[in-house]
Amino acid sequence: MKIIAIYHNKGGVGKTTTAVNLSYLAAKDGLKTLLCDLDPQSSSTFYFRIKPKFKSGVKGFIKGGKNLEKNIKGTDYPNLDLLPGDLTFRHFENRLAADNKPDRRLLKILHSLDTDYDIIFLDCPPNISLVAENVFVAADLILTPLIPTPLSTRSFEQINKLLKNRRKKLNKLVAFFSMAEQRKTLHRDTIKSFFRDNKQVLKSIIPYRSDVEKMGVHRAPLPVFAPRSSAAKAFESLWKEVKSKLFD
Amino acid sequence: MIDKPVIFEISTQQNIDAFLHKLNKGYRFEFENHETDTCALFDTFDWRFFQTGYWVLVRRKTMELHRLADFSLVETVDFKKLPCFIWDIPESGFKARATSVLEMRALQKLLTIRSTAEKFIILNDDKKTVARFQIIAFDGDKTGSRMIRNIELMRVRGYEDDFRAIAKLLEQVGAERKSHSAFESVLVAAGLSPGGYTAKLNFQLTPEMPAGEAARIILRHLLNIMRLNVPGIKADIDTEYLHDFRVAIRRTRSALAQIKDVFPAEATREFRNKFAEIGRMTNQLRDLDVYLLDADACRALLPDALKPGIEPFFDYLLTERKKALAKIRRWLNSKKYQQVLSEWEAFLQTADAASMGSNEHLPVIDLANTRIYKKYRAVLKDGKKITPETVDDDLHALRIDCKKLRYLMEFFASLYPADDIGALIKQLKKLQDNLGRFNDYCVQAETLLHLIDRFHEEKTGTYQTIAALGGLVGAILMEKQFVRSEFQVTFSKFAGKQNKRHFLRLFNE
Repeated sequence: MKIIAIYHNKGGVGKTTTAVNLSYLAAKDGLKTLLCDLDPQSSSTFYFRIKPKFKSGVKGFIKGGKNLEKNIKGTDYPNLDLLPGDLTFRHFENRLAADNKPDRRLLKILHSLDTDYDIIFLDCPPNISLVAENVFVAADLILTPLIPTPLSTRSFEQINKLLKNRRKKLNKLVAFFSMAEQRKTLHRDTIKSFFRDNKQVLKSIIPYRSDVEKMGVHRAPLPVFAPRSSAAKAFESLWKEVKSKLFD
Repeated sequence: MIDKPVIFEISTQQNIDAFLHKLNKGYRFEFENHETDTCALFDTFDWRFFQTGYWVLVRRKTMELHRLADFSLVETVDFKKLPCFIWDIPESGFKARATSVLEMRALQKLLTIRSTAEKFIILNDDKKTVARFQIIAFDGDKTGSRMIRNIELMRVRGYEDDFRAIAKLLEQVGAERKSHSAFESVLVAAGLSPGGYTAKLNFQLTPEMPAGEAARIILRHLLNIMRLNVPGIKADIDTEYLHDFRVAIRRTRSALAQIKDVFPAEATREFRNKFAEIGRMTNQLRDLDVYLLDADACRALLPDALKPGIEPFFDYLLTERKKALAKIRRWLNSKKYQQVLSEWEAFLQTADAASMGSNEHLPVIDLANTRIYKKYRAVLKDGKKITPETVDDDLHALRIDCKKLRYLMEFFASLYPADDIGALIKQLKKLQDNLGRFNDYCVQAETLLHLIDRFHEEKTGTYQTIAALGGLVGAILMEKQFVRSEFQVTFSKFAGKQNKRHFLRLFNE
């Protein structure tokens, strides 16, 4: 079983849309897939039309085991299940701190699902916290969406540093460009220099498209309602790269 | 993820509408698509696959083997031409499993089943799919068959409460939960009774029953078996229709002879002769069938040098078979044959007390015990006389005694504990097997020797054919000697103390 986290310490960069679309594509590919919504805002959950309720709340989530099983919901798509996010997840930090190995808790919890799923996607909350640390420990791959501006490439450096300080494996972290507008010179130049200076980046670039914003209206993954759009095709290409990184 | 669906049987379209109406109150549902499927049910005339616990279905160019209990799929095999016999089935796991079941019988299409599935999704107020269902209508191709409707309800993980609520709605409109699909209901609605025909004597007698009544039950059962097999003989579907027909005749004659003093003597004699004649009319075809079924074994008995010469012999057999079959068809369609059967049927209905035999009112258990034990003693007596020097005819006589004993035991089996009588019949079968094979070899050798003369006179085939036939005779006579040498041991086992005790206990106490 592989665990992939979609992480960035800032909001609005395309984490949720990435988590939703990639998990959909993984399931379509035949992999038994679970999308785990760790964000108290529960956006992934909303996109799949599932109620943002986790029975027994963050307490139950941290206990793991049967509490997870009771909450898993089947999405409308074959092979794809979801663990809903919940407002009580805003207390993750406090609850986790009580543990004696606080950064390993998530790995332990997800381990019980080992035989049920081939891949688990983590949609992470936009912060630097114990939750993030747990994600860094648990994930086999950390995927970071970057909007192609100088500011975002700076935040990538920050995340890199975070991992380094915690002595985590650096090659776990991989970036990709999201919401890219090819017409803007700034975007094109940022992308060009980033590719030149960094190896930890995927080739697929997700364009800025209003289609993607409409996911909130359709409440479905992009490939379901706009399969031929350039954004959908870009996500397919992204999934191929991610799959190869995880399973080859 | 996907679970196994829960199946409900729902009787009318009105009930389905009532369910949809109730469903509409708490949920929305949407039509997704519909699928039609056609498959055909196959089995032998005597339901061999059904008896072994399987359904054989054919869908397009694939034959499927399903377990009876839960419909699970065990094997499949793809074919170009629809298989009829075991040798038509392509090499596969399916063929391996089917070999001992099918043997030499033909697979026949019993029913075509069409099903139309309308697929729906059930949505909550977020328009999230919380469950799925299919309305499946089954239809068999026998005219007038009732349409069977199922609703298969499939849960979505995490929405168990909704699933339970919807299942309750179904129960409220009278739908019944079923453990398996509508398959068996479709068969019953089409008028098929799975396992309905068997050549076994599965009637029940009771010990106090008057012997006359018991005899009539037995004979009516045998007459029915004869009648049921005639269409299959005429249509030449497989060799076993004729075989079961002949066995029923043999048993009829044996019953008339062995169940003594139940019917008037004159009528008994008359019908025995009439059935003997019917039996004789079928001898030729049966002999040819047996030879042709054994063709591969015959070929294997010959040295390689003589093998090619035997083929004209088999061609000759096939030609003769065509003629014999035509003869039987004419006979079975004839007025004379029909007349014998209706006279016999009339005879079995009447119970004219005046002309009946002295045993007519005897409790059948007494008659059974007496006749069986007496015949058993006769078998022992005749068998003990046989030595390696005894002439072949004495072995044939013993074989006939054994047959009479076996038939008696089978007629009256329902009067005794199944395990006990089953075990004794099994012991008797072993002895009969040895005597039967010996007899087959004697007859075959004799027939082939006659054929050699005939082929020579009529100049059928070449000298190689005659040489091959000669080779076959030689091989058969060697097999005959071997079987003969096994007789002593086989008989002593049957005549042993243990069997004696069992026979005594069951029939003479």
